Amino acid sequence: MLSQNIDRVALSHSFDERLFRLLVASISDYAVFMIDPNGYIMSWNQGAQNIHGYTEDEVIGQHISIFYTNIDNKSNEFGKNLNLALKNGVREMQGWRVRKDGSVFWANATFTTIYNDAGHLVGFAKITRDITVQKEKDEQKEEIHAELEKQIEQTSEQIAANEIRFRKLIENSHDGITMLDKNMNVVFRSKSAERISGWSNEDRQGLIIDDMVHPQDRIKVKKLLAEVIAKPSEPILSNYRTKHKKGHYIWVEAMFTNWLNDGKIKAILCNFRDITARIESEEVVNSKNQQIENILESIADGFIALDKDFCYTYANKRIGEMIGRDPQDLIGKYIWTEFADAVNSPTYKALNRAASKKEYICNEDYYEPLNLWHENHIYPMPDGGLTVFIRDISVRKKADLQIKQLNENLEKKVVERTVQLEAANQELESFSYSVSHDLRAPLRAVNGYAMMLKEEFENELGDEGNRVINTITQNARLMGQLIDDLLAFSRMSRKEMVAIRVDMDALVKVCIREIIQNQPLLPEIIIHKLPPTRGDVNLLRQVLLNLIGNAVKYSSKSEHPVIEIGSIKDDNKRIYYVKDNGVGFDMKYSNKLFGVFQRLHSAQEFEGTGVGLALAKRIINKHGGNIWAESIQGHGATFYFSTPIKMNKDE
Amino acid sequence: MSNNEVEILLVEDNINDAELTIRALNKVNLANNLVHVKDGEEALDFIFGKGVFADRDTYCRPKVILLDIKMPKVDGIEVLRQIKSNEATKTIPVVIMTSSREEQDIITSYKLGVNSYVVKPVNFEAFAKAISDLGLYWLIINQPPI
Repeated sequence: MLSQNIDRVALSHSFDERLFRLLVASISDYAVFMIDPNGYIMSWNQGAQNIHGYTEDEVIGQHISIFYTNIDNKSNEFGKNLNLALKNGVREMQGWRVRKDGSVFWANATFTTIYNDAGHLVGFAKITRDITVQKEKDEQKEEIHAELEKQIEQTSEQIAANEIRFRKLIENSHDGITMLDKNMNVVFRSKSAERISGWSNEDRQGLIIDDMVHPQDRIKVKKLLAEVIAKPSEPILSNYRTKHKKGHYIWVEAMFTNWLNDGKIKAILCNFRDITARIESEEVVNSKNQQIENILESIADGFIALDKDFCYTYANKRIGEMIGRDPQDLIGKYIWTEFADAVNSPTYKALNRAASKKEYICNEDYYEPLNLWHENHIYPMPDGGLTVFIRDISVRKKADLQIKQLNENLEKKVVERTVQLEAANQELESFSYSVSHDLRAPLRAVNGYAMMLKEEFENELGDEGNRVINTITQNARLMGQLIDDLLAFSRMSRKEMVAIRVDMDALVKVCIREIIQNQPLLPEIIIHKLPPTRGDVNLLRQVLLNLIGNAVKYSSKSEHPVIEIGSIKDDNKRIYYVKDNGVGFDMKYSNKLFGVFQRLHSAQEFEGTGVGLALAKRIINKHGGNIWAESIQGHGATFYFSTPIKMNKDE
Repeated sequence: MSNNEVEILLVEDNINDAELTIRALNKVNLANNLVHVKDGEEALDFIFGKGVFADRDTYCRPKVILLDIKMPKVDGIEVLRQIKSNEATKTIPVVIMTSSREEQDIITSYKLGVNSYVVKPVNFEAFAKAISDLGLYWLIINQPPI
């Protein structure tokens, strides 16, 4: 301590004291002044004036206590400081000091004891600095620091709270969360993960993700993890099967994010969820879809599905075959760019209509570029699209066309045949016309001239001559009758039938009157009540005339001829009969009864041409009815004929 | 008999029929003023005063025309049509006498205005009776329009 002071004095002596004083005096930021051992001010500099506000003149000789606050003065702060300086040689402290104007500033002050060469205390050097600004700054700093600390504390609490919250979120999350290290060891497993996979956080040790994956998915997952490693921070999604703690496999959808390089996480994060149910239902749907697809692929019809913009969403194999394209090639394409030449075709219109009206439409169309006749069944779909079944009907169409052609040919043939038939009919008509005229005229001449001969030369001819002439005239008459009957018969088949309601009672009476006119012997005639029928009255009249006439004729040789006319009840038809007690006929010849020129009796026995019953049969057949007969030879015959109850309108 | 006093015009191409007809009429004395022409063309010439009958006074008209249908050249139907469509001749009674029972002929004849349609019977007695009845009816019983 002593050597120090000696050094200091020696030093002051070695400097030019004047220069030193000047230096001190010019220091403006520090108050540098000297006080005597009692505290009275001995020197002053510019810095002291700047800081304390006193000039040198005002302050020299003043006691240093003027710079202290009253409180400090009361506690003898100044004395304490000096004592401490004396004790230690230097005393540095800080404290509030008072300026001349009474204002205070925060000062940093140093007291240094000064001894003279003889070792006596001569006073103290004091250096004071105004550090109010610095102090304020320090105080601000402190405040800021405190604030920061507080904030940090709060933040920490928040973080802690957040962590709890997130932990809870994670624990309660539906998705499982696991964290893997770079070797794919599970380092964390959330409660939710446990719920999904059965493995708890505590189970994690020794479990390598690779071991958990279903053998069939391992290659896939290996590739996936390689990708995860290769692409930090990038979420990568995948599906695979993983083993449940109970041993079975579950499908999971997992999203891996590589945060290994993230200082805070340093792990691969895996969020996953159980999609077993979804996959299973997807499998059900897929198998259903597959089934539907199998059906659509196996049907013989073409099938396409269009979305609401008329783009293909499906096309089966068959349609591919029909149009000669790969059906897959159509998918996603707009139908009317693929078939631009079918725009405005009936199919185009049908599709538009089905889509806009939401109704099923079936149409037929011909697509010329493919020479394809097709039938479309168009069904609107709820999503605005359409499904269309397309059937190749070319074969049918060709057959139709053939049928049409055949029909046309047939019609042509029918027309031709009709013309031929008409011509034949015409010929037949003119033939029968000629017969009617020309065949009868010579007969009339034969008959007439024979009669003339008889009239003129009756006496000369004698009995034999007259017999011969009678035979000639009889035969001529018979031939005339034959011709008339034959003509009537042929006329009948050409004649149009006019069907009306026929009162059979009345008609029978008319016929009987006509027949018995020329009869010398009147038979007994019994007429039962007859139901009416529908038919051509003239034709039916001919039938009745014939049947009743025959009955009269063939019973004329009976002792007591009886003719009975009646009907038999039947639900489906009218049946009328004419019964006589005449000679009858042998039933074995009954098939010959209704043939033209067929007779069962000789002309000598009974006159007749053999046309009457043939004509009757033809008339009844034309009415849609039947005619038949029963007989016991020698005991009479019964002739029946029927007419239908209901006849066609045009008959 | 001049052509102007004709009472019956017989139009018949069949000579046998004609003879039988005339004979039957003779029996009842009605064949005195009868002209027989052998086809339709000749009949029209007679009726309208043409051809060989050009000098005939057509104002003198037969009381009845017995007309066959089926004849060469012009048939009876055509003759009937012309008679009935001419104002001067349409009131002359025309009787069709034919072998034809053809309905079509009958209907056509009546439509054209025939006064009677008779089918010639094959039987001579019936034929003779029909002819004489006709002659009696048209020449004696019937009052002609003139």
